[in-house]
Amino acid sequence: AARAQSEAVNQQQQQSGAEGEQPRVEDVDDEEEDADKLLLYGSKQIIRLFVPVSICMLFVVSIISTVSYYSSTQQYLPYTPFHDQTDDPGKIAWQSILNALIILGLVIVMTIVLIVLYKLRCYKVIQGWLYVTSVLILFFFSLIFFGVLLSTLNLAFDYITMAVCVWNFGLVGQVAIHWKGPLLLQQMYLIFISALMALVFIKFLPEWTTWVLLVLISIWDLVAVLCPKGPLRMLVETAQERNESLFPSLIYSTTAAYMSVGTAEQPQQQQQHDGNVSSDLDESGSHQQQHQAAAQVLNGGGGDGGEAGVSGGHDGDGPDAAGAGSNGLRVRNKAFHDESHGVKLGLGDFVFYSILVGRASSAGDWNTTLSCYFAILIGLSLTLLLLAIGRRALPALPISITFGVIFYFLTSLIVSPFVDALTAQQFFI
Amino acid sequence: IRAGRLRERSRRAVRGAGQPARRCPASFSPSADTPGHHLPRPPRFASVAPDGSGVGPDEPFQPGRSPRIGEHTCGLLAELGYSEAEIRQLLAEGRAVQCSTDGSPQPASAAMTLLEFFGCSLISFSPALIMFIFTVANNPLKIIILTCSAFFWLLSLLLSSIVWFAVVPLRKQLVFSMVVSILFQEAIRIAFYFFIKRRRGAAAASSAGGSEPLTDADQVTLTAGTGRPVKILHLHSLSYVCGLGFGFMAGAFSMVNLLADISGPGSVGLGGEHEGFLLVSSVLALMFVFLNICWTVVTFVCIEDRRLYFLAYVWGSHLLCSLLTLLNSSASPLLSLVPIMVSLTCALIGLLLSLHLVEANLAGFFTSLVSPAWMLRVCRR
Repeated sequence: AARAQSEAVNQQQQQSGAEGEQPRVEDVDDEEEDADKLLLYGSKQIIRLFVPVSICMLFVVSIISTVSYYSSTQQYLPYTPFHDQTDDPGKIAWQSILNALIILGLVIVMTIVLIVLYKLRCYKVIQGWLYVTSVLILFFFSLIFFGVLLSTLNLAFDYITMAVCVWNFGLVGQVAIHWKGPLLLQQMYLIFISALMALVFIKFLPEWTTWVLLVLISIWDLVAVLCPKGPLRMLVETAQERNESLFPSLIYSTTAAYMSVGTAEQPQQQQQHDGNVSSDLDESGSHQQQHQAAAQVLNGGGGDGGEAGVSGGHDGDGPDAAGAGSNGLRVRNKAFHDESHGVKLGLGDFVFYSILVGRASSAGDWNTTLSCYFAILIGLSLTLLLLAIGRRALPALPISITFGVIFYFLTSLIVSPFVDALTAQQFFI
Repeated sequence: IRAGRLRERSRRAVRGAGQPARRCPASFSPSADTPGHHLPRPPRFASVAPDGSGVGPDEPFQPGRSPRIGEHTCGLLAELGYSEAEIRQLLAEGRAVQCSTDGSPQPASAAMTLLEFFGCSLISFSPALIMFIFTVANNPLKIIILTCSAFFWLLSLLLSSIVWFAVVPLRKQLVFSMVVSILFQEAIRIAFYFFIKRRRGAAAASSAGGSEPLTDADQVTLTAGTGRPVKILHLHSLSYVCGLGFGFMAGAFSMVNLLADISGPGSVGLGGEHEGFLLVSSVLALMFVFLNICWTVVTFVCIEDRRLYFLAYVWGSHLLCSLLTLLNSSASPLLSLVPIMVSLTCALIGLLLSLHLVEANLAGFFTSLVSPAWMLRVCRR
């Protein structure tokens, strides 16, 4: 993002220089002015990510607090075989650690499979995975979701109308995500998919497993993206070597900047989706997938929105979101202003943030939910600031999840009793 | 208030029901095969005679319409073992609803709790929301600073809770923790001033995104060393945004659990609190939002201008307004008027003080608040 922004600054300066308005920035080496410009664009991009993340979290929290289906756990995934209902802390600890390690192992395996597939250029396989899993989410999970929602609202609905509605909903989602569609529609579908995945995970993961999993996934994210031999980093570098766009789907993009110019070579959309998608609805086979924010390919004309974050694995039939018209070669239209420099955030980040906040809210205490929400937002802005400074792919999970988890435990154990004691007697501080 | 019970409720729901409820012996019959155990009685078909008479356990199955919500409340409660007087009291309190046969509920309890929820939340938060929409929402940098300041207030609350938690013998004496909390809040406010000041050199105004809505004095045009004009956010508008963030968090933490509780069935007050409990809490939360804005503006500006004696107002009024809420613990709602009026007075004094410190045109400020020109300007943007 920072690379994009500095390019944008130059572009802007060139444009205005051509119009004779302002002096060129390149002459000035002043670090503060550079930081000025970065923050100028940076704050807009940060807000552009705050809004969808907040909407997703709000959606998840409202569904968790109203629909009892998602806040009750009766069945468990086959990946979390240890889920005894016990109060013994030692037992809870080792069971949740084992569960989380199993899921993390799956994530690692899937990442490796993905890299192998990508290196062997099996794009069709990856694409097929993507379509199948998005069909599963958009049709079956949505059907369950709508059914449960209707029963909560105590509304009657017949199957025929439901079939027509879900068919239309799912099909429009497929088109909007994988092909072309209005940006707002695509963004809404991506948010819906992420929220749905988060809800499924909150439902099917035992409580302590969720927390341990969040921590482990953020560590994995950190390792995979930043280590020189990290799988995700290798993936990004391979994509850059081949001059292809890396997994433009599964990413939430704030701008529809990528008009697909009809160039001769248009590489297929590489999408990664691992996971043996189980079609057994009862089992709700959720699997690991990873998706990352794309590293945009810089064309000769200019830069594009760079990578905003690379997310680690996330469970579930992944939201595959093909960026509308995101293709390998991007030609930046000269007519674009700074609006074209969108920021990208992987859908896995949405999912894990929402899992954290949803799990925090399922305890019933809204103070905890509020503090986790603000902790995640602050973590996200710190990550984006670091991105602006570091100018390379960064994992979006670790900082936010760390803040979120710390604040969850601190708030629920220490702050909430204090605040409850105060509000019970109407003492204000 | 009910957060603890809510948590227990959720925990209980997860653990599942244990033994058969002791209050409803009529729903269980002793099992013939295993003495000493009970089996649930077979379910009744929910059908009722068209005249709406209450259900009895031995009525024969009659195919008819499905029961309406709240139709058999009285009968079921009687079967569970409640007496007539208790049933009447439950109906009067709104914790149980008995519909007439045509389906209209009496009394309208669900709507009433929702009304109460919206009323109280709007009392507490609508000024803050409006201030956010009109003055902060269109400037991304301000939104980020708002989030940061809310986070900093959360940090101060965290520190004070740790102190409360650590000093075990004084946990019941909330006065001690309140004073500690006030000290931490003020310390964090001053710390935030220095934090903002350090970043202010690099903080750019959103000059590309449009002009500020309320006043152009928000932005100050400085000429940097190279002669290029750089616009940064003025300290006054920064302090206002920080105050809004602090105030919003302070109000939110005292109100959200309360609001969540009153939006469910039934209402607060059944635990012995007086009727005006919610109103008092909402109004006090509103006062504290305003107070936080004034305190933050005064703090920032007087530190910047090196007139530190105004800090005495901030600390003094914070302690005064906060400690006066100790009067709220009594059963009479009239005593709560004292902290409310004192907070209102302090807020007005704070408003005048902050306007004086930022050297605003008082007359112009007040007329701009009510003049249609201001509204038109804002609406046009």
